[in-house]
Amino acid sequence: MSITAEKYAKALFDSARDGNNIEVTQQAFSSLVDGLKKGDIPDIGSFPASFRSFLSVLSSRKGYGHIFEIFEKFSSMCDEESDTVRARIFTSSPLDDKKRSRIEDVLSRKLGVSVALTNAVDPSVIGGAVIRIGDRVLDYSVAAGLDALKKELVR
Amino acid sequence: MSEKRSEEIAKVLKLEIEGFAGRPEFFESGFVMSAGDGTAMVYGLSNVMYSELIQFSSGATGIAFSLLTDSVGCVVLRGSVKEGDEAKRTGKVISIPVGDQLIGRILDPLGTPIDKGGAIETAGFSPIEKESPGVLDREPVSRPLQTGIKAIDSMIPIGRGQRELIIGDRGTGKTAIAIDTILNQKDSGILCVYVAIGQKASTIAGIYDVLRNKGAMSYTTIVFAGANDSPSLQYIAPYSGCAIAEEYMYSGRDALIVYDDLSKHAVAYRQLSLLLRRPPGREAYPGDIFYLHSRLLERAAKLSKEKGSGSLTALPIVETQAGDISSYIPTNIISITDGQIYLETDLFNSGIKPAINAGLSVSRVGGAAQVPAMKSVAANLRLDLAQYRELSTFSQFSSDIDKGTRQRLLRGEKLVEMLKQDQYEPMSVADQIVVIFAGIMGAFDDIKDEDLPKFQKGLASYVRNNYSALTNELSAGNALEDSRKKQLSIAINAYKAMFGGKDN
Repeated sequence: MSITAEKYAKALFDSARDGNNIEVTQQAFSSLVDGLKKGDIPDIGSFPASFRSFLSVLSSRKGYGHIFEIFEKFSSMCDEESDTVRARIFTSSPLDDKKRSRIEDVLSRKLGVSVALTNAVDPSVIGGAVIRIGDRVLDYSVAAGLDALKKELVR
Repeated sequence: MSEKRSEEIAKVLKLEIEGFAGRPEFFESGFVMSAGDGTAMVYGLSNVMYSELIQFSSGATGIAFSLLTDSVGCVVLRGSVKEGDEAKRTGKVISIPVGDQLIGRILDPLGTPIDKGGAIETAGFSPIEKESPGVLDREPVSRPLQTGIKAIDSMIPIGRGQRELIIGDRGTGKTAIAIDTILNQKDSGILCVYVAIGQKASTIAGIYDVLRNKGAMSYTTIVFAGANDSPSLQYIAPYSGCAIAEEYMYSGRDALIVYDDLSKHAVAYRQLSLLLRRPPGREAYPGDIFYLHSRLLERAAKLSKEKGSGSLTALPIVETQAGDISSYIPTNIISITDGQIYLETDLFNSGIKPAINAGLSVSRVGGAAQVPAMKSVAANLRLDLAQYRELSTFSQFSSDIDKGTRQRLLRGEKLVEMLKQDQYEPMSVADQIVVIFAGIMGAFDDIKDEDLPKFQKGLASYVRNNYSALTNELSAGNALEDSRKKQLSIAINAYKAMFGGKDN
C-alpha cells in the first residue's frame, strides 16, 4: 500500500466524517470503482459535492492511478468506524442468504463486532466451509479433514 | 487371526474418521507474494512472532525473519515455495531431537539423520534458540579440558566451559586441532558435537572416518550443513548443534562443541539478510551480525552446583584472509571468546606443526583450570620461548654471538622442535609434563632434531613404566615438589644415557 493512497484516503474519510456523509460517499465511491472496472462510468453529477471535489483534486494532482488503492483503504477506514469486520466464506456451492445471515449472526456474536460476510464458491473445499476474517482462518472444510486424516494414516 | 486384525484396524480407522469430521481448524495465515533464493515474502501473518516456524501449503517450512509493516520476510528451510501458496502460523519455534540417542550419528541442522543409522527415537525435543545461562547460574572455569596438544595444554590452556577461538588462514590446521581435541576426550567423559557449516561433504566423510576408526564416534555427534545446502540451513546449524550439546550440559555432564567454521556461517547469514533487503553495514554484513555470534557463544558455560555443575566448552573456528585478524568477523569473535589460538601460514610452511603463534595466542581464563604441575613447567617454557623469539630476531644477521646467547638460542630451537606434534597423536598430561620438564632442563640440547620425536616418546614411556608413583601423581595434577623434580631429572638422565647408548 503506497503512502500516497493512504494520505488521500485519510483526507477523504476525514472530510466525509466532518460532513456526516460517510455512507453516501462510500456508496458513490463503490459505484464509481465498479463502473471503472466494468468500463461503464456512472453519472458523476449524482455524487455528493464533497466527493466530486475530491475527484477534481485527485485529477489536478494526477492521482488517478491510485484510485483503487484509495478505495480499498477508504473502505477499511469506514469499516473500522462502524465496527464492521469483513469476512469471506468459501463453500463448494453457493450459500443461500438465510444460511449466510445465520453464520453472520453467530460470527458477530462470537467476535463482538458486526461481521459482513460475503460468499465465494471454491470447489476445492469439497464440503463444509472455510471462513477468512483478515488473517484469521476458521477451517470447517472436508478438504482439511481429509488432509489431516491422510497425515495421520501416513504416520 | 489376520481377519480379526484387519477388522480392528477398520474399527480404529472408523473412530479416527468420525473424530475428524467435526474438528475445525483455527489458524492465522498469509499468502506468498514472491519467492526465490531460499526466501519468501508473505503478505498477511500480522501477528507472527520473530523466528516463529511457518508452514507453507506446499509442505515447506520457514522461519519468520523480517517483520515489516504489512508483510513478513521468511527464510525457507526445506522444500520449495511458489507465489500464491498459503503460509500458516504454527506458534512454535524450530525444535530438534536431543538426548543420548544422538551420540555417534550424523544429522542435518533440522535433526534428521543423514547416516545409515535409521530413524532416531528420542523422548526429548529442544528449541534451537535458547536463552543462555544467567549470571547466577554460572561458575568460574575450574577444571581443565585437555586437548592432548603440548603447545596448547601448556601455554594456551583451555578450561571446561571456556570459549576458545581457533583462527588462521585456510590450510593451517585449524580443523586438525579441533579433531585432535575431540580424539583426546576418549576417556575424559566429555561428550562432543562437531558442527560443520558450509563444508564439502567429502571433507566430512573423511572426518567421520577418522573419528570412527579412532573410536571417537562413541561420544561424538556430527551436525552437517554442506556447501550445497540452503543458506538457511547453514544459518541454523550452529544453533542446532548447540541445542544438542546444551542438553548434556544441563544434565550435569561436560560437553565440547566445535563450530567449523563461523566465517562461513556469517556469510550464509549475510546472504539471507541481503536477499531480504536488510540494510548492509561493514563488509555488507547486516547490523546484527555481532549478536548472531554473541548469542551463540554465550550459551557455552560452566554451570553452578545448584544447576548440576555441567559445562559446555566451545571451540569456534574462524578463517582469515592473508592472516588478517583485524577484519570484521575475526575481531567480533575474538572479542566474544575467552582467548584465541592463532595459526600462521609461515610457521606451517616452515614445518612447525601445529603452526601456533605463541605470541599472539592467549587464553584468558584457562590458566585457572590448569593443573599445578603443568602450570609450573609451562611458566618456564613460556619465558624461554619469549626470550628465544626476541634474541632470534636480533641475531639473525650477525655471526659473533657470545656463548650465553648461543646457548639460549639453541634451547629455544629445541623447545620449538619439542612442541611439534603429529596429527592424531594426542598426549596425556603426565607425558606432556615429563617432556616439557626435560625440555626446560636442557635434556634435548644435544639431541638431533630428527631424533627428538623418538626420544620424547621413549622418555614418556620409560617414565611411565619405571616411575608409576610419579606418573600417577602427575596424572592427578599435583604440584611438582622439589623431591619430585629431583626424581624426574634422575629419570630423564637415566633414559638419556640409555638412548645415547642405543644410538652409538
